[in-house]
Amino acid sequence: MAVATNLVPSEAGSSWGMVAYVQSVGNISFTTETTILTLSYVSPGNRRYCIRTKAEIYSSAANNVITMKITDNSNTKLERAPIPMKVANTAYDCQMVYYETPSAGTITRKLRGVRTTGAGTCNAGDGEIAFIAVYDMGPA
Amino acid sequence: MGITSKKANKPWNTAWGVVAETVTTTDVTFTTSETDIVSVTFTAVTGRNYLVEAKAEVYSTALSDSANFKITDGSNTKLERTYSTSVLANTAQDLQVRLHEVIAAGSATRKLRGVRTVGTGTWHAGNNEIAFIRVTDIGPA
Repeated sequence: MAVATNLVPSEAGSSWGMVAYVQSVGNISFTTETTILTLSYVSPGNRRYCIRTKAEIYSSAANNVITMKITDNSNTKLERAPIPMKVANTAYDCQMVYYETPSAGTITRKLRGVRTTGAGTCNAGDGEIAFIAVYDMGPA
Repeated sequence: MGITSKKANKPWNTAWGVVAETVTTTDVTFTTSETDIVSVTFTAVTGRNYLVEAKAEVYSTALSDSANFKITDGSNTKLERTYSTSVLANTAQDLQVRLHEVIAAGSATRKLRGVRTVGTGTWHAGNNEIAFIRVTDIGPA
């Protein structure tokens, strides 16, 4: 039975918790915009979702700026976080949150990074946990 | 019956999700006068836990300036704060503030406000990117 038709009224008015999660413990280097993590989830429609991401990021050069983004499957920006890298080769934490009410269907979201200032080689992950988590936040 | 029509059913021992939010893409400037960046008003229910989250891109026109960013109530009383230091002049950086609270029943207003505490530059909040303040019911208190 599909999720949407399995509801009883008491469930529809509340949050359903985490619906999708992906994490990695690696490192991805980039200068141009690059995908760090990808996940997909299924929305029954008329539901609110919260997307949270986290990654450690750093650049090989001081005073670079890394802009991390949550994008859709076409790499269109939904949310972004520019993080100045004051110190070279030193990891900074980057967390983002984005709320959405997508149409019913399969929804793909990516965590992507791009160097927007400077000339260093940028990195995301740093051998620590990076993740995308999607939570159902209740009815739209 | 569609899912939307069941929206009013809210079991007490569950989280009810987003109850109010304001999302803007404007840019607000300030110096030493504490200034509203974004605000939201909602109706609080007794005995519920709320998460208030705010986010904006911020920057100063001067290097090494600092600013406080506060979540306040409707009377501008500070409930939570964080700070930002201008790492690079005129370069936006992400800023997020979160507050967990139990709120008295009735109409409640929560604001994200900013004030420069160090330096001489003009601070910007918003940067024409998404800035928001959002209130989420996260379950019974």
